[in-house]
Amino acid sequence: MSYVVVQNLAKSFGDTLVFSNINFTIEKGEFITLLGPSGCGKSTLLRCIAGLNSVSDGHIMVEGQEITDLPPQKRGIGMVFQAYALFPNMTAKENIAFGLKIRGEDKELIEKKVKEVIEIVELQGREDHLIDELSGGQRQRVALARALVTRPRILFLDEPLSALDAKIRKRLRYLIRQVQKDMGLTTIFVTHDQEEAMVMSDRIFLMNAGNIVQSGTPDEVYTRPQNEFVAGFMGNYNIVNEALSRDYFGTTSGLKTAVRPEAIFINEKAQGVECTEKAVPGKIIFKQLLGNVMRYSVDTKGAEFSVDVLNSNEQIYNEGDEVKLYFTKSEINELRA
Amino acid sequence: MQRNNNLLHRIVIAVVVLVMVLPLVATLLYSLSTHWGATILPDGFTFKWYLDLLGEPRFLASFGRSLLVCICGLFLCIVVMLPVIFLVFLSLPGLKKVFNFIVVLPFAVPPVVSSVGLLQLYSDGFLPISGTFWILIFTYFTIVIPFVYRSMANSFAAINLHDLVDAARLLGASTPKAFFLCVLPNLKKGILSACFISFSILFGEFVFANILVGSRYETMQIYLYNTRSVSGHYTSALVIFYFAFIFVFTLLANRIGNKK
Amino acid sequence: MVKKHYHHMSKALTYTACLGPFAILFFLFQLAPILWVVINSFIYEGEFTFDNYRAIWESAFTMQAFYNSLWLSLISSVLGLLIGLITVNSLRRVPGKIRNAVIAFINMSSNFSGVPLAFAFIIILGTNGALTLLLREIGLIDDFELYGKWGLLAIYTYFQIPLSVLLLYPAFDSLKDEWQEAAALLGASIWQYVYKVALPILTPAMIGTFVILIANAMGAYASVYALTTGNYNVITIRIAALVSGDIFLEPNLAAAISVVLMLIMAFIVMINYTVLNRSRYAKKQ
Repeated sequence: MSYVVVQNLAKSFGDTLVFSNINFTIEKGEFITLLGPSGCGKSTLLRCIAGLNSVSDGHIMVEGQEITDLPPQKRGIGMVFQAYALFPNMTAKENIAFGLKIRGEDKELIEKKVKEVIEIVELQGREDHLIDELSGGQRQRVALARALVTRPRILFLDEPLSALDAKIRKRLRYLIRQVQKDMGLTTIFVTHDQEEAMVMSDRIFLMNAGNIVQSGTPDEVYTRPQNEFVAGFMGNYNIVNEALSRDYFGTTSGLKTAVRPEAIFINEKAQGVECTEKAVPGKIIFKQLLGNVMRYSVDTKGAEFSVDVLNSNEQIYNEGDEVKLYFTKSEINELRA
Repeated sequence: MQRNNNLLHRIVIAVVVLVMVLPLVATLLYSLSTHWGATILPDGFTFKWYLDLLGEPRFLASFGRSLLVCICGLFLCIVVMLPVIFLVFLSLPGLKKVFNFIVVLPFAVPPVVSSVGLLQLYSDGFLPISGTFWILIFTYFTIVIPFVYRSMANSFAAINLHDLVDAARLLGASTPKAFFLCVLPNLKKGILSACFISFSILFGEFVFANILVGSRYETMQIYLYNTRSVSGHYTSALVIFYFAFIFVFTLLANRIGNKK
Repeated sequence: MVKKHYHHMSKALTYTACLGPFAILFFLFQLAPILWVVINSFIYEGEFTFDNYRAIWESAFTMQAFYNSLWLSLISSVLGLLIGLITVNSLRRVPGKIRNAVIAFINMSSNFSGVPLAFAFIIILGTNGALTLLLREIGLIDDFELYGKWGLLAIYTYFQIPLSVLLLYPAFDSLKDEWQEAAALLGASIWQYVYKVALPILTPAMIGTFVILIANAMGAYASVYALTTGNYNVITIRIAALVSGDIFLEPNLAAAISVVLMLIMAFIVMINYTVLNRSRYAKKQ
């Protein structure tokens, strides 16, 4: 049996259904990301598993033990909140020690464990500061340490990086992933940032409007979107309608397709890549430098394609140039309606 | 469990509101009843007491006096405080600390204590205004300083004073002109809400009115006190009139405060 | 040089024009009376003396006034604070519409004090008041003496409640639900959360509120005066009687009592600071 099993989980607030029929399993030590736009139900799902919201229906099991109706105190879950939720009347150290003190652990042991975890999150020297004397990044480290020190069965991270600026966000991403791997912690991470999800996760559960619309490894979810929502959410996919898909790529299923910008070539096919038969003529209408990549917008009469070309000086086209497009065969994703 | 808790909280609030509203409702009933002797509910209902009230010249005069003295005191305070706060926020921010002290002073020194000194200082000597309209104006000025300062300081803090004044100056306005044309219009809400709050406080003021002036300049609160032996029903009608009047003012103050 | 000098002059003139009227009025009607009180409390028949203070100490009547004032203030403040805490805690747990309506109502009822309130109390709790009769009928009370200390305690507590609620509400509002959730996930029961997190965070606001409630009650005059026509012996009534009574006036004794009253207030504020200073968190608030 898997480490965490969620069965037919449903939640409604009054008459509004947040999600229903949620099913998934998580293995021990996995880093799972619930990814989705705001309002998709991912945070509520997390709070239901944590016991902060009651569920309307279904079961949650951890290590074979049913925890669906247990109070949050008894679930063995550690949580890091988006807005830190640190206690402002305590120092960093006191915040971290809180959970251990509540359990009535031995004073020396608490001291030792707190010291260890402070080193892990690299907060040495800031232990005795009050919360409002710490920066956002430091606060989130305290919050992480507070959740880690009790050795929870599952660690929950509810958008822990959203309130931080880009640089600190990247550093903390790395730290969180490192600590999680070292401790072998089963982790559920909630975010609306697809890049964050891809960098950190073992598996991604992509949610929309109360449903898990696709799950899989970051690579699977990114390269094999199963429907238009996933394609739109995960990258800058070109969505091609049914008729054009048949015309350009020769598909026979009568479904829409999605193609990544980097799976399209201008004028020359890349070596060793099998492309679809038809070369689609078009005209460059716009180009944009994105650093290492040059993004062209190509109008093929039927549709407009974004095409990413590595910025290498060799292939430079200008607006107005007439070009031909080739599409990598294995990258034509047929989308379920 | 959540629902039970919710019900409990609602009951707590209902009880508190009930207790708070009880004296008012009882007064209202009393003011509308023909006779309410040794029974739990009154005998019959009438508007007689309100008609009596509105036909009583002494009441109308006291109401007029209260209005006059409150408006004058408040007006004086706003006119005097506006330039002070403007100057403090524009070029003397160090004085803010002084004002934070000034603002708590009236709470630390009860009006009864002030009135001991006021009565001795202004009964004779260089400014014998005790027992007159004037002493009330000036003491009412001191009463509302904290409220006027807080409301106005809030609205000064909310606008970008320095940028506003600088912009106006670059466009050719003198500082006083900048104040009247660019700053003052932005403070309208703050001033108005200060007025309403202060007014209802002044309107209920009794200590200074009673100790310093008494019946020599009978305000509504003093008149209310003096009618205590006339008739309970009549007094109740007066209390309700007073409260309804204040009610409208507080409502207006809330409206204006919320619009921000 | 000359121009610069002129500039200074005009600046000084502007400052004087802006600050002058305020400074004069504030001095004349706020500071001067306090100064008069402090100075004259040490003067008796034109000479510097401590006699006025000795007179307070030696007069059982004045001491009783202090005792009554303190008793009423302390108990009504504790009651007001407790009722305020319970009310505000519940206010946080009801829908926003109810909450806003109740806050608006309480804001309004904070104007219901002094003489009008005293009359309302006479109507419901007087000898033949509706509530007195009702309670007597049920058998809860034999007789309720509104014009004695229990009646005064009732009216004091009544006017403390709105103040207490309005002062505590913002502090409770700053308590985040997430703190309770975080504490729960760390294994804390609701009581452990209240004791270790909520109360320490609320303490500064509670102490501050308590001090203001005490000051409010110590300085209360209108309600007692109207309720008992000045016959109940509290300290404000005592002071007022010594300066504006009909029998004999002793303004200097009144001044000395006033100074003691202010000292008591200062003492209470000092206790407040000492308690707050014991916690680093509270000191920063």
